Amino acid sequence: MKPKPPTTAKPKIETPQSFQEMLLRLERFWSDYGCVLVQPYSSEVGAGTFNPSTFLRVLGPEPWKAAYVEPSRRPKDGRYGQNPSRLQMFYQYQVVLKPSPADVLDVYLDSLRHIGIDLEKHDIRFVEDDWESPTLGAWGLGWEVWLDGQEITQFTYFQQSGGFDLNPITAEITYGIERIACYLQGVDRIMDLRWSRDMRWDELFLQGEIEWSTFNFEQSNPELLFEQFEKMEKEADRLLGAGLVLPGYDYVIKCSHLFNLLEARGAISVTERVGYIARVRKLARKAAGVYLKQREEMGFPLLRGPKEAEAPESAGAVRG
Amino acid sequence: MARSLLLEIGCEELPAGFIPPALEQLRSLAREGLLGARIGTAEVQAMGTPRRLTLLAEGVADRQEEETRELTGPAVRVAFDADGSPTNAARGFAKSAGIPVESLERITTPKGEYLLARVHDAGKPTRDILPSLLPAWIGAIQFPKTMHWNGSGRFARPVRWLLALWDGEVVPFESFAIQSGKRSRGHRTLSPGWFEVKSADRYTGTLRENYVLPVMAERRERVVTLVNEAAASKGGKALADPELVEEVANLIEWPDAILGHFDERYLELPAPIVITAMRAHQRYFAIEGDRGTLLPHFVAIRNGQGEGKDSIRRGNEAVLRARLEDARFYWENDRKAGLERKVQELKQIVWHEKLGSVYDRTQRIVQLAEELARQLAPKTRDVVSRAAYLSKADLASEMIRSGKEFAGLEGIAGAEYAAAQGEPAAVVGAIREHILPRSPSDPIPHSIEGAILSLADRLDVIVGGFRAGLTVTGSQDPYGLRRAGNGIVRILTEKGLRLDVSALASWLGALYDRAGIAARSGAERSGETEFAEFWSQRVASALEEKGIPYDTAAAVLAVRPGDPLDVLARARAIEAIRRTEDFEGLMIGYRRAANILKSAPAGEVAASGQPLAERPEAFGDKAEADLHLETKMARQAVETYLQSPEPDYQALLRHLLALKPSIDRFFEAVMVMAEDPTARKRRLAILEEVRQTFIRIADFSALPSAPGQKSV
Repeated sequence: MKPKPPTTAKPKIETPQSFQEMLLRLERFWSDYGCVLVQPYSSEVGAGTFNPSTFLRVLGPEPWKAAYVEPSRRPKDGRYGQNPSRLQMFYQYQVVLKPSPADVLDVYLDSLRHIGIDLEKHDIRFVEDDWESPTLGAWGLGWEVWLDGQEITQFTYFQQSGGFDLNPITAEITYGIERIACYLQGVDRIMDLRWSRDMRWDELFLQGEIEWSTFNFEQSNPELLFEQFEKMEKEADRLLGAGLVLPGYDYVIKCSHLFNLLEARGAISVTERVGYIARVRKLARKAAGVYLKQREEMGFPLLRGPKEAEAPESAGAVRG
Repeated sequence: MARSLLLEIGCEELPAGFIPPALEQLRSLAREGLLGARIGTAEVQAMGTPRRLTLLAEGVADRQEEETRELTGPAVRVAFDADGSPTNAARGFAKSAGIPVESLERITTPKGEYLLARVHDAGKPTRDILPSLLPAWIGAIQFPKTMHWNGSGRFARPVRWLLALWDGEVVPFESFAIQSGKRSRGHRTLSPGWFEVKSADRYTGTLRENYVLPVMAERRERVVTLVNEAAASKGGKALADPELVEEVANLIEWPDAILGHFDERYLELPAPIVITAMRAHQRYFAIEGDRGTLLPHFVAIRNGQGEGKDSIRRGNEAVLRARLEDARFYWENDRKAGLERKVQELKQIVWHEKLGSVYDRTQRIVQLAEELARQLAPKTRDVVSRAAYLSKADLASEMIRSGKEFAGLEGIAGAEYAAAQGEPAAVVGAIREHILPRSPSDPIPHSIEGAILSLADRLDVIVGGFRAGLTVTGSQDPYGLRRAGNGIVRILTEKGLRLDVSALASWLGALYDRAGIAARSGAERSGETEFAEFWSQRVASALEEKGIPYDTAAAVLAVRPGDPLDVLARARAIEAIRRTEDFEGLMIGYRRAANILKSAPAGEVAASGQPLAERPEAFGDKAEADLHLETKMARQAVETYLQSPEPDYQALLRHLLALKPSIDRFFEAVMVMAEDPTARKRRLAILEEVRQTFIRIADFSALPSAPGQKSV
């Protein structure tokens, strides 16, 4: 038996001409889907997962749908702007859907079509990848999504966060947007990306990469950073003890970033590393516990009506 | 009438490695489930892709087989009262069997007369049974890792649909909060919607129409054909790689080949590095030309067909370029540094906090390897010593330390760097081979130098591991001690090398002592007891694989367990005669001797270790004198055989067998535990001589008596 001819693709969607156009499309798509567009967190994080909109909101029974850009800092990955694909600061586009809808992968694929990726002409794969953040006491199962052999998204069904088993389960979609933009614009180097109609990435951010790499590897003051870590750690513990979830967690985030800076500077040995990670994890667990308790005392206000089971399939409800 | 049963568990993309074992389970669950439910079935097959695990049973009977069961009830004497009417016991039994009391029959057993219920079960239609069978099978599939997604249960990845057909009719049930139905889904992009499957026997055809090849073997063959065609188009052939074929076939539903290229300058890199860049993450097939050298092409298998080949090729080429560029960067930096510097850098890498750096470990391996060379192949000493010195240098290389896909090239990278800096071929070969065997399916080193280095490496892992207080329990073996131990046994037995590993472990222990690396506090004799127990278990498991029963293994391992080949030779010699009448007879006498010695007062046996008088008149009975003399001769023969580097244990055992008549006569003639202390001690002494002789070969008291024979 011969396969029938492939389903003709939906009307071709034009490729966005710039990075920001692509971002706007993603924002539009997930806004239409019903997500809260919460915006980035206001302090340095290593990934969108650290944003309270993911780390805290995935806990407990309340439903939650959010999308946001997250500037992600990885001090160790800086290359002074020399490496075409490694940066100490890059952008993630983060989507969290709780509970995870039954058609979540179809919706995700639709979002790719929406930013101009003609899936019928590409090789799209979901390649097993188990995700874990030892710092956050979080883990999940899912995939790296490959487009023609390149990883463009991390997709995770969160199983645990802050050491707590999760129910309902959140689907976390993390787009590597520079990678996708390079692909759409046909350029090999992030530096060559058109950010807007008139500006390129390098004109906007290259100097930052150079300066931050210099700071991260050469100029940061380990003594000061160690001192800050100790103080912030105490402060996080104190604030969380006082039931102040958001300020307390804010200090946990600061600890995590200070740890990343110290590591980039080579100030933490391999054996000490595990100890520092455990210290941050302990705080993250505490934050998660205090948050859960607080939401429970508030009567889980986002639980309107009967507890939602897995959201029904949204069957093409999403159209750009 | 026979029908077909179809069950498709529709999933989000399952990990490739999970699919074959899950299908195997599904098939046997169904086969056993149908059998258990008395439903005849002609054929059960399982097939699947990343998005579906499917069961197709053909020739399934449409009714359960009928069956009559016989149930035994209460004794007749309590089943009826004085009037002969049934008691509550009889009524209760009839009720539980579901038949009237009058239909109960009687059966006579050795214990008396009992009530018997003959219960006839006509069997139900299969379609009524299936709704309870199918969900049970789905729920019984085990995966290495499972997850939640909607609170309805765990599976490897979310289950999104359930297609269940009994011929053309839906088998209704619910699993994971999903109602079974007729619908399925095809290829993600080539056939994105839902479609209906009309009947079980049209399943594979319908899937094919929707760009899915559900049968694993078919996809595998297709992958091989596509890869070979693509390679041939460049005048080369794809490197045979059945593991990669299997994995790739389980990453896709509809294979298509993409032929890609890379810059020829990357071919200056050693082939294993280039192949790893293609294979490890990207799962590309490498292509070689006529002379076995790599060509600058690769084959990627795409999931799909039709448009877009160019953009897919470009995307894949770009990823590979980045990976090869990384490799070239590491290769050049490492070569510039040279292995000598890398060896020094090993001082910065902690092997284990209690055991020092990898450099310290290297020093031990060098000494151990030299000692091994002295014992096994003295001429190789210089090569072995140099190779040992360089063997861990690649752990400090950027190639390995990058943590990228090349980290798996440990040993291989080291050999390439050694070759590149002009080390002798034998040194390069030994470095390359010293990591073998990494798993039971790996070959062992081919060269004697590689074998010696591998032995030294593994023995240091084990002896050091126990010194650091590591334990091996159940599945817990983070440093791979068990794997290392199995490697040593395999190398020695497969290469026919005689080596007393226990003695060498003590030798190495002394080296640790001198280095001031003490065992963990409180440990008895620097982990030597743990080592002894561990080593016996490793050799025992190797013996088991060679078909040596557990008790024979235990008997030979109780004596000189250090040299696996020697242990094996003794085990085989015993196995060869173990089931003969003579041997079993001998064992009756031997066990009797051993039991008497064990229960004798402690002082008396110890004292009997003294040499006995040689004058026949010193013995009370001729049987005593005979046994003493025969044992003495046997002992001499045993010792002579044991002098040989490879003792003939079969011949040796014949000397022990020859003792049987004298042992038997001894027990017939005298009573060992006599009143007279002189006679008693003398007889115990003779028995002790017997035991001492036997125990040179094995602890025969560990062999249980053959069935039907009573031990004395």
